[in-house]
Amino acid sequence: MDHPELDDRELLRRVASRDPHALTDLYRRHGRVLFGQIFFVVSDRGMSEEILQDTMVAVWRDAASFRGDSRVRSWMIAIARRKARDQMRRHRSAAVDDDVLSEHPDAAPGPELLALDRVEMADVATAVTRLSPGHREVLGLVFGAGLTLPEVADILEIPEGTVKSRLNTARTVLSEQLREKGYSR
Amino acid sequence: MNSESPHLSLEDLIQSAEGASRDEKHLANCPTCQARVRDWNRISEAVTVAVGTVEPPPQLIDEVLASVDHSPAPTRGRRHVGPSRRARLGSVAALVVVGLGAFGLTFALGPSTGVTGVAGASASVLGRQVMLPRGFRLVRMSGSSCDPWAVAITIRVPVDIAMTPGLEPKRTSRQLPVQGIGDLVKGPSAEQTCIQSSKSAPYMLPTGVSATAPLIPAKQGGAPTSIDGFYAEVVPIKVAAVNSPAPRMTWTHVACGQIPSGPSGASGASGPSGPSGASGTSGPSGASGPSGASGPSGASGPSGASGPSGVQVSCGAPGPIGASGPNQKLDSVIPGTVIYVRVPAGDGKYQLVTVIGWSMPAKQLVSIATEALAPRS
Repeated sequence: MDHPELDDRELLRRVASRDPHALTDLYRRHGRVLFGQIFFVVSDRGMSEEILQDTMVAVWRDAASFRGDSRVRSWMIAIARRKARDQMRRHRSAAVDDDVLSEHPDAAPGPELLALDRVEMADVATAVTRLSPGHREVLGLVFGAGLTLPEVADILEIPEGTVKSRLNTARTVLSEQLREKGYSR
Repeated sequence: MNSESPHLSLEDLIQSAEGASRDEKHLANCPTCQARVRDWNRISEAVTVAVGTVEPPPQLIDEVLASVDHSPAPTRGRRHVGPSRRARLGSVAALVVVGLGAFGLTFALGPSTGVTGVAGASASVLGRQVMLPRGFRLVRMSGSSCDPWAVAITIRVPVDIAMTPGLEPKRTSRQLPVQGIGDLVKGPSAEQTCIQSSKSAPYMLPTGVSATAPLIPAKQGGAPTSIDGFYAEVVPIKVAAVNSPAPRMTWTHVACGQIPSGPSGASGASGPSGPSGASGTSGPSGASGPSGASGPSGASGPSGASGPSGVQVSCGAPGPIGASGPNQKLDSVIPGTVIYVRVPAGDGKYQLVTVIGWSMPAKQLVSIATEALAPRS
């Protein structure tokens, strides 16, 4: 039985009481965003599926522990992130390696700044996928999952200022990449 | 607006980029902020495209529900797709590894050791992860290699490409475009490739490679099986060798191809002829003939070569496999690349075979054992 009329919290409550249809509904609502975010970071479809599977198992198992102080989607994404981190550790990959997340100062607008709107979308998309996992992750959470900066900070367990810093760094790196490709103002 | 800056804050910029400007008046009069909003809008679009192009498997949730504890009490969930699967895969992988040291030694395990019902089954052997195409189940593993670069989780099939005459390995220098480490470059349905063979041509080994042992002793005592008319899917798979150098491997003749949408007869004199008996274990039977399983479209092209019974091999499809044209060679690929040969096998099932290659630097033969993939019930 589907529960299209129920909000996420009610669905999660039902999951906690072992309603499999509620879990299915949550998957239908958020699976795409979760999967997109996971895949965006790990860049491996098979691994992404495994992480998503682990995530949904955890949602089933831990639904009762949801405290209600965040959106259900944020809560699920946070679970997915932990699962992804576990997976990446198992695979000894550096995909979510904090070392790559070194912060850089925001690039102030200047003559060297690239206007991304002048760049072909395909090139921007390609450049995005070449960002570090940490930068992809924060971009995905903001623009893919549609989370607010405080929500992103909560999920990443970092200060909101660091989220902003990473976003700005990601934009700067993107601009640099595209400039190296020959785009310039 | 920033407290220290006359310009929009990052939150405002992002909101504006997503069409919800909170300070339109400032934005309308500030070229700097306009440029920044355009930048963020571009990034937003790119991320949306990148994130939104992947679809989660719809059946995944069913698999989750089939694996968790449904008892009312909120106890810890119990899965049989987690550690237990990995443990089983690990144990099987370990056995495969045992067989890797010996040249040409095929290590095969019976179906009872297989892992079934696992979505997107994957396993890591020698640190290399090999993914199975979605929709198939891992029923058996086997592996053979004297080169640690090449490993595979494979499933048996009554066809052995390595024993097929006409697969002429060629040493070439052309590079196969491959994306970055960790990427599954092409899904099994994204590219179709047909392996063409000439029945009369002997199997040729690259210079320096000994032929004293069979490539894959999968068909001991039997005649090599032709692969005419078989269709392959080239699935370059990036493996977990993140920090490893990438010796080139060269692959056999591969040509662009297409699985016809209608019924066809791929067997002729060359269809799967029954269990190949890799390592003495019998493979799935019922490898009668193709059932006209439809492959992805769009691979049509000029200069098709025909399989023995009407299976059209058309080349010319663009893609990362190589230049178009008949009988193209799949040249250099990175370790871990697996070429799946998908063979229509009746009853809507496929059989698949992996293809061998070899490591150019060491001139070592690398054989990836036979495999079969059957659609999950």
